[in-house]
This record gives sequence, structure tokens and C-alpha cells, in this order.
Amino acid sequence: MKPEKTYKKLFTYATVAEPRKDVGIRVVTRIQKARIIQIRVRAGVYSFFVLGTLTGLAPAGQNLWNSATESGFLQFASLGWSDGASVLGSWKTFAFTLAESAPILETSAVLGLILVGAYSLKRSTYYFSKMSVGTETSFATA
Amino acid sequence: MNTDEDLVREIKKGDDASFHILMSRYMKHVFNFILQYVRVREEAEDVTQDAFFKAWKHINRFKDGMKFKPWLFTIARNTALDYIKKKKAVVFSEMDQTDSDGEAISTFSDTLTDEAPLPPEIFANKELGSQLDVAMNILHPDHRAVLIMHYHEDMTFEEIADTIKKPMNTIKSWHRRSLEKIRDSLVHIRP
Repeated sequence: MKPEKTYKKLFTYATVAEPRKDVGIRVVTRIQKARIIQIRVRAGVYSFFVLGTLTGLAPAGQNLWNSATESGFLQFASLGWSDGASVLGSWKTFAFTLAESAPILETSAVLGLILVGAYSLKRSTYYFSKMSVGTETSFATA
Repeated sequence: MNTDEDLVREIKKGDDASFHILMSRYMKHVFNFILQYVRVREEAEDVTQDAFFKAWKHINRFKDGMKFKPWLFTIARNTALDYIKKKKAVVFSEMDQTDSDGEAISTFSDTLTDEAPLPPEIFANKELGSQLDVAMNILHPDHRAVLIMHYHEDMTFEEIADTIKKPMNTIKSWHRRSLEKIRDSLVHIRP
């Protein structure tokens, strides 16, 4: 018999131990606990972002309003309603003036906050709903 | 039946049931592997639990193209070594460079000669199983692990080298010298 085969045969005599069945159960329990902590942390983080964006929206909105007023954007924009015919006649000039006076940075800030706030609200709602349902079901289908 | 890699893909999507299947598939194998390092059964069970938890926690580090068994056994080995270090505060860098007898590892000459076969009368010994366990006990944990991975888990030397993070020649050297020690031990104690 080739040496490799004799040693292969030898190791069939080696003791093969069985772990207790509760080792697997302990792993599953530990994973479920880790999942619960993960969900709570994520719910907390996204809630923090929601609060943060809500807190930031008021000053950002005020800032946007102030910039739009100071730059004259609001006055120019209102011309479109009050004197539509003149605006149509010189629409290129009107468009350039509007673009120049538009508070781009402030608008981006407000839109960004709304997007982040909406996404955070969606995720925090998802994770809070998972907290109430629980995570025990995921192993049950095995 | 789903392959290990298919199940890992599902686990990454959040399917814990697939992890449960993988865990059931490898529980006994990982436990026996860890037992080569942690020789107390109850402690080996604790380390096995830690190893599987770590595998779940770091599942996103398993990339496409990798083989699951060597990856899992690497985690198991690292978990076992961490446990031993905590328990005994052994400086493991010493173990890496020499074998359990303190001899420097020769990676070239040791790989040249083939292993001598076992005398066939050894298999007539009714106490062979327990004598083999005694013979294994004198080996370095990594050397035991190499034998278990090669003969029980049917892993190639390349996979074993990848698991233990040593050059293949070192693994082959450990393998050959461990078999020599076991053969000598069994030949001396047989009736």
C-alpha cells in the first residue's frame, strides 16, 4: 500500500468528537442578539439624522428666503406673474437675470436637507418597525 | 444541494437560514479542528461558538472566487490561537519559527524524501485509536491541525498553507515530520 494510503487509513481510527447540540443554538442566539443591537443602533443613527435635518431646515429655509430677497430673485420671479407679456418679449434677458440672482447654494442646501431627511425618515421607520416585529423569524425557515 | 459559496451569497443578502445550513454542515469539522489547539472539550466548544459567530460577522470579507472551507478554518485557527494566547500568554512568534522540539524548520531538505509507509501489522492493534490519540498529543498544535486538515478534511497542501498562512514547503515539512513522530510512537508501543 502506498504510504499516503496507509496514513489515510490510520486516521480513520482517530477519535472524531461531536460537539454538544447547544453549541449551534448558542451561535444562533448570539447572532440574534447582535442583529437586535445592529437594528437599534441603525434606528438611532437614522433618527438622529432626521432630527438633525429638521433642526437644520428652519435656519436653512430662512437663509434661502433672505438670499432670494436680497439678490432680487423673488422680485424678478414675481414679474413673470405680474407682467407676463413684457417677460415673454425679452425672455432671454429675464432668464439670465433670474439665473444670476438665484440663490443656488442656499437652494441646494435646503434640497439636500430635505432629501437626507426623507431618506433618514424612511430608514428609521424601517428599523423601528423591525424592532417591533423582532428578528427571531429569520432562522426559523432553516 | 447548494454549494458553500451559493449559501454565502444568500447570507450576504441577510438570509440567516443559509448560515444555519452552513453551520450545521461544518460544526463537527470545525470543532474537531479547534480541538487540535484547545484540548479541553468544553473550551473547544466555546471557541467553536466564537469562530462561527466571527464567520457570520465578517461574512462580507469572503469574496467571490475564494473557497469557503479554508476561509472558515482560518477563522477557526485564529480564534483558537487568540484563546490560547489569552489563557497562557505564550509568545507565539517563537512557535512560528520553530517546531515544538525547538528545532529550526528546514524547508528544503525535509521535503525531499517521501514518508515511509506504516507497517501493516499496526492495523491489527485493537488499541490503535487511543494510541493514535496519545501519539497526536505530543505534536505541536499546528502540526496536528495539518494532519487533520489533510486526512480528515481532504484539504490539499495548498489549501492548508493558505489556511495557516505558511509556505507550502513548511506545511509539507511539518506533515512529513509529524508522520515520522506518529509512526515512531506507534511502532514503539505496539504489542
